[in-house]
Amino acid sequence: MVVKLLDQKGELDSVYGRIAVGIFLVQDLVVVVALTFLAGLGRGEEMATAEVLTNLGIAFGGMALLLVVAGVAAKWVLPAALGRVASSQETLLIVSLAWCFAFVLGAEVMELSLEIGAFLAGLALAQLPYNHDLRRRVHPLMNFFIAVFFVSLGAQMEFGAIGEIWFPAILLSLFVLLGNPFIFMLIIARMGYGERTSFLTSVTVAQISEFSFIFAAMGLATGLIGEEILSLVGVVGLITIATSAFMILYNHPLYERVSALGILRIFRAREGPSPMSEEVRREGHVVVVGMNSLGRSIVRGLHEQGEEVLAVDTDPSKLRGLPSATLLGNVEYRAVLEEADLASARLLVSALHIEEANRLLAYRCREMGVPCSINVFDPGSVGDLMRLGVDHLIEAQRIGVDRIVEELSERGVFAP
Amino acid sequence: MTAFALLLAAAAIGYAAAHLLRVPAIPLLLILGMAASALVALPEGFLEDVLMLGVMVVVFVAGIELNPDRVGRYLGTALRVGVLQFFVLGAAGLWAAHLLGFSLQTAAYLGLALSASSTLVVIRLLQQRRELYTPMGRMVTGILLLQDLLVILLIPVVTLLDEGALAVGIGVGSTLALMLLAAGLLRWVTPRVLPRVADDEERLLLLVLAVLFVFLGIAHLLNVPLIGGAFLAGVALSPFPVNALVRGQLNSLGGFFSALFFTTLGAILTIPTPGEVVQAAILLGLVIVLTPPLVALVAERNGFSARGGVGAGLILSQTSEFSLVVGIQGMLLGQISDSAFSVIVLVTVASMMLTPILATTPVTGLLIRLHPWSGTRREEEPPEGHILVVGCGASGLALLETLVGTPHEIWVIDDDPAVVEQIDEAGFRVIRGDATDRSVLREAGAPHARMVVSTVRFPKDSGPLLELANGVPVLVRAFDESDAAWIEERGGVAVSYSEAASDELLRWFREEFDAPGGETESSSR
Repeated sequence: MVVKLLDQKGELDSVYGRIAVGIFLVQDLVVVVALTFLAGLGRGEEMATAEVLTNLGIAFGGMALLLVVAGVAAKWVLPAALGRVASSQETLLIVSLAWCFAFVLGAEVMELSLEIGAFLAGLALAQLPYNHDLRRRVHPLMNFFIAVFFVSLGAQMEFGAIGEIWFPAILLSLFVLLGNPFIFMLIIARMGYGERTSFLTSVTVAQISEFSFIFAAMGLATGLIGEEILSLVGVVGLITIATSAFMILYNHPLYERVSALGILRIFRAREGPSPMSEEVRREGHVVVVGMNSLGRSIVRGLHEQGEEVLAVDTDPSKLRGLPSATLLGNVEYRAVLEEADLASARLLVSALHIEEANRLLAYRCREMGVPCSINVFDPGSVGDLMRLGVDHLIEAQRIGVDRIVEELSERGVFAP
Repeated sequence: MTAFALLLAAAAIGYAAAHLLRVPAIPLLLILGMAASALVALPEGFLEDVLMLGVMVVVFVAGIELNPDRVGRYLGTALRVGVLQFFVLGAAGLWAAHLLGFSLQTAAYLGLALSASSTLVVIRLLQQRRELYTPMGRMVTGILLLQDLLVILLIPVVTLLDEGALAVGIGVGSTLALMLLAAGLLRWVTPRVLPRVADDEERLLLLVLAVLFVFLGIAHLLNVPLIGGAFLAGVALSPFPVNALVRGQLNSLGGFFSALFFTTLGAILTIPTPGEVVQAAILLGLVIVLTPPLVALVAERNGFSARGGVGAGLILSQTSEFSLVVGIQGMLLGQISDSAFSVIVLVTVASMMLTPILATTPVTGLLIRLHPWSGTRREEEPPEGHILVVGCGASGLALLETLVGTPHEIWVIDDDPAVVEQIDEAGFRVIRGDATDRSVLREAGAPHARMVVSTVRFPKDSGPLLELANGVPVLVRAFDESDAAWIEERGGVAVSYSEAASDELLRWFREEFDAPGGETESSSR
């Protein structure tokens, strides 16, 4: 949820955004350990200490085994295996999902939490060179299943007992909304970051995670907690996620107001800019999409003219050996165009032979006010592209015929 | 979880193998689905749920690609071809099924199952071959849309026939109401409202899925088959830019559910009896034998080239995913037997598997050679000192217009009867034949020409020409560097279209962006 909000605000790559994402990753790792611990405790039946220790040992052993398999696969198996199918987007997606479910199945066999299996499978895939592209492909599935997950979770919650839990719910929510930022502000300021960065990071982490619900659901399943605690977690989740969303959306005005009160001075954050610089964005470059022979020829030509060029394709093998910067991704995803910094580009050139993608690119360029030159594979789509305000059409068929006529002319075919 | 992981693993193996062996994925998914179910007993209820959910999403995603605007000026041809194919195949299927001993009602189900082509298979193939926007692709899109709408409309007729005319009328009326809702959304709402929230792909995806579930809800309330609701929801969302904006998001979902659908379909298949295999083979033969000539005949009469018409006929030679739904409906209502359903599944699966094998350039070429056109002009002596143009597609026709200005006689070789007729009418000397056939090349005087220009679809098809016309300058169209190198090695002159297009773009770029101020000022066109 937070990553999504930061992305919407265009601040995911800001210093505070990157620190916050780092914190979430560490928290996820802690959650994996905690879930393993819960799995080790078994089904809540009374057990002797030795039995508990044995179960914990088996659980952590299982987790370690999965971790080793994931690590070995990420280093030696997956790059070669998936590299062979990486040029087929559909195959890459399905094989990755099968990989995920194989780990989920492994976790089930070892009586671990299924989420651990999924997390470790994802961890292995994240080490691949094309993990960005894969992440964008899995994203729609994630959105679909997150919606299903929350609806199912909401359907299981009983709010009949809200009268009994309202006080702890408010108290715990206040702790998360105020206590969490307080603790993080203290730590981050001590690490040498500026007051603004420390404050913005702290506000960003002021909510409980989606994993909290999984945690609570597992606790209920193992009999360690009752249904009222699950409801309590649900209410605290609703309050903190909803409130923190507004805190993140309006984080800069919030900082100005709190800073004006002078209470942030107690954290003694250092003055001036933070030790990490903001990411440098491309500007005035030419984005060339589709590395077929036309695209590659255009990239080389523009590069020789001294232009800063970014070559984009879905097939990693087509991006090899180019003199320019490259980006692996499908331009049908808006995120790819954002990663290519299209909004600040000088020109977009599409050498694609895919009419639908070309029309979408023309539409996006018009939206962003970026000039574009689009390859016309089929003359039937000229009208559609012109209506979308394309600046230049690459008509390879017409130009090719002109080249043949030039060749014929040079050979005196038209001479009497 | 085990069943789910197993199906997904089967799909992953199927896709990877299909990719590495360069074969269609669908047959492999079906075979691996069968293997998975033989390996582990998969729960029947789970398989049915996955199958239904899978087919809903898959049909919904396919519907999004069927934008009526894309058909454009080929709407009339699509209507004529689509209606003829639908009713001729439907009637032939009904008649053949009745002859095979099925009752009239079962025969009606089988006829309906045979009448439409598969949107899922055809759109996928057209996308893979980048032919969706060609005249043939546009006509085929129109045919598919029309046939799918006809099947949805006729499902209530066959399923409610037992309950009398009133029930049939209500069923058809309800389906028409849902179609009108989809048409209204498509015309007035979707292209105007949805792009406003398009800045956020996630919100758009959720909104699009909400439209799907609303349509499913209405279909359920109106007692219309849910798959019809899913398809119409897709069509309602098909206008540009909505379809384009959401395609990236839906591709992942579609790919995931399509993989599950085909492996699950494989998992529920049972080994058919010899009798069912024979019945299915006869019906499959009907589809494969009747569709190409029917489509090619009407398409050609409406101005399509023989290659376009035959290509469209071959790509449409299969039954639809709707056939499976028709079969499931009939079985659930107890109106058809398990055996009849088996026959429907067999025909659908086999025809879907055969399409990527049949709808290929060699088969199209073979059928074109059988074309009953006899207008080829034969000369006693092969010509000399002439200009020979080999292959005359879109590129070749434009070239001929320019060559009119030369003092030399122009000769053309092409294998497409409709194109040959067109060139003949324009007054050029034309020989109908295969550009790789040495006797045709000799007949056209290739070894004694002043110059030869080859614009054949595959540059390597110019091999025999380059050998035969040794000493004659031969210009060959090339698309990439490897083609160009291959042509030059054999003594030809490669004309690289991509290099020419790239040069032209760089020239435009220098003019537009190196001008004072460095800003684009106006369109170059």
